[in-house]
Amino acid sequence: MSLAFVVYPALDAIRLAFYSKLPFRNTFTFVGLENFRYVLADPVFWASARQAVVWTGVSILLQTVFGVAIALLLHQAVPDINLFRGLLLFPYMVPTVVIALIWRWMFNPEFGVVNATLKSTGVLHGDIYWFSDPSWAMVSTILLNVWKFTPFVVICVLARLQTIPVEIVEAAHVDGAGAWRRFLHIVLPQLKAVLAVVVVFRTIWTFNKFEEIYLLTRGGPGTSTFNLAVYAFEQTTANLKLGVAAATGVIMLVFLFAGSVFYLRLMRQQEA
Amino acid sequence: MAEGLLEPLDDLVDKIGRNRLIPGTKWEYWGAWKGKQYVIPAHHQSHLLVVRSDVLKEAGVTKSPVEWNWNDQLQAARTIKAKTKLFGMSFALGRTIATDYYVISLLHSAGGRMFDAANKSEVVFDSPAAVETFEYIAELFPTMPPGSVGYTFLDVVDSMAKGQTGIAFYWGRVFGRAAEVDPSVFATMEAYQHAAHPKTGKRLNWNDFQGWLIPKDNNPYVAEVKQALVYVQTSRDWQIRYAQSLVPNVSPVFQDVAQDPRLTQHPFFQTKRRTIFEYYVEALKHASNSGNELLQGISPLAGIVHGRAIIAQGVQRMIIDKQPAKDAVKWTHQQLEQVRREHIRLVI
Repeated sequence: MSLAFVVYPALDAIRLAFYSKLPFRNTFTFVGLENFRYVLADPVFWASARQAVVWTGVSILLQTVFGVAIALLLHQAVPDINLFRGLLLFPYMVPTVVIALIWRWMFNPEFGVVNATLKSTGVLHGDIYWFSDPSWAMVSTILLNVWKFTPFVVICVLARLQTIPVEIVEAAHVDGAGAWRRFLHIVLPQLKAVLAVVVVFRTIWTFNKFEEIYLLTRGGPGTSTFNLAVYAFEQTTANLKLGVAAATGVIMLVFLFAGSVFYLRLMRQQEA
Repeated sequence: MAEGLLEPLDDLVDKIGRNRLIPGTKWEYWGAWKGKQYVIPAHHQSHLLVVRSDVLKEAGVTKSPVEWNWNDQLQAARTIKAKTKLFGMSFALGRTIATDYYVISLLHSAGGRMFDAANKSEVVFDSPAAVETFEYIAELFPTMPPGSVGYTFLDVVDSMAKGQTGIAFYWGRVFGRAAEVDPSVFATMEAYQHAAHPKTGKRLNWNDFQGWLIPKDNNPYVAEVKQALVYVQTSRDWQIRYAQSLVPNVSPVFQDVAQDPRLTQHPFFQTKRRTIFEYYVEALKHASNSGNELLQGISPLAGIVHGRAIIAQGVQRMIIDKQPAKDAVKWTHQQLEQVRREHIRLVI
């Protein structure tokens, strides 16, 4: 199964990166490194890479902070806490296309609930054009990603929290450690391993994310919310440059592999 | 056409009626290449200048849109923005094919074009006319909804039909949409030929000469499709029903259909007769598009350019990235040259 659905498509994509393929003609021409040369010389590729780093970095940071905070809240022994834990999964369960359409409506500058709420509470006086201004468009895509995937972080962190022996935390409490010090010196070190895995996985998934950005902003305005996945898609569908898209995929693979190895080595060094 | 992917349809032209076309059109406008007809006309449709007469009145714009040149149009849009609660102008500036269509019609009026059909489709985009066109769009932009940088076709329709803007460039579809969502807006909308360029005097629109074509490769149904095409093109009932399905968006292409009294048995003719014939007939005097630039020959590269929304990307460099118009034009020119290089086999 893995050979058919993972290894073969990946190897075929790598092969395609060295060819020029015209989809409406039956041509398949070896072009060597030409596709990579094209990609690396394209300013939109580098802009997309920079935007992908911003989109991924800020999304992961916020997901981790909110995820840990919400997990700590849900770790309390409160009646009906399981109900809240169940509700938390809601954003994770709703299909992205539904969320994106609802968000487009909510963030509509003229009649969306977000601008209306901000204006009625006096926070805002004019309208924010969420999808028309490059900075706000990036903010709105990040917000959507954070809203949808923070529950994943919560679930992972909450599971780890429940395995931390209560005695250790209580002993620190008895020794006079306040809530912040207990979190910083006892809980956080215990979460380190799970957070390392969560951050690596979320980084890979977010860096490769396509549908949230495309459904919400289509990479716009201009190319201001392009990441590399949207860039590759545009090369495929608009430019019909399948080889260039495949080369972009190979470069993404290299970026992610290098980033993951670096991050995991860093974590190991810190543990040592 | 250029790659031999389509079935030649010359044998259908006489069966349908070579001399039936509405005056001002030629068979090749719909798609002919190297003397062979590949496309059978379905309709023609232009985008025109659509205005709300009540909004012009409220803003105090007294000069009739019939007499507008680009400066009058800009002034009207600014006045509407300043004196009413509406935006002055709406057209698409998103990274879409729609934006390409808007920009190209202005470019053609200014005297520019993308390719030189008479000279192996050499790229001739980088010109004073293109810079002037881009600068004009930059001047219009502050009168538009800020969201227009993401607009495509339907966003422009909605901004007009829902009463957000006083002026738009649009095809006839906007009238149908307004009639559906806000009859009070529909009642005050009128279409005119575009504002004239102050120097060239041209009022060119973007006219889609859209039609039927038949893929050739691995198609076992060529004979059946040809038979069906002859039937629908020679059935006046069918043609009238087709034109009436979207009044005034799909203009009839045959003179006998356009003159048939049954055609006007549609409620829109009661109040919008002048506007409808602006689309049906007058627009043909100012027709252009980039597939057949200035009606001087088919450009096989135009579809590739618009598929990539290259013109839109050029304009966005100016509007969003704040590049000077001449730099954005230069970048666009380079992209067109790249398209020509990649597809040189189509033009030599």
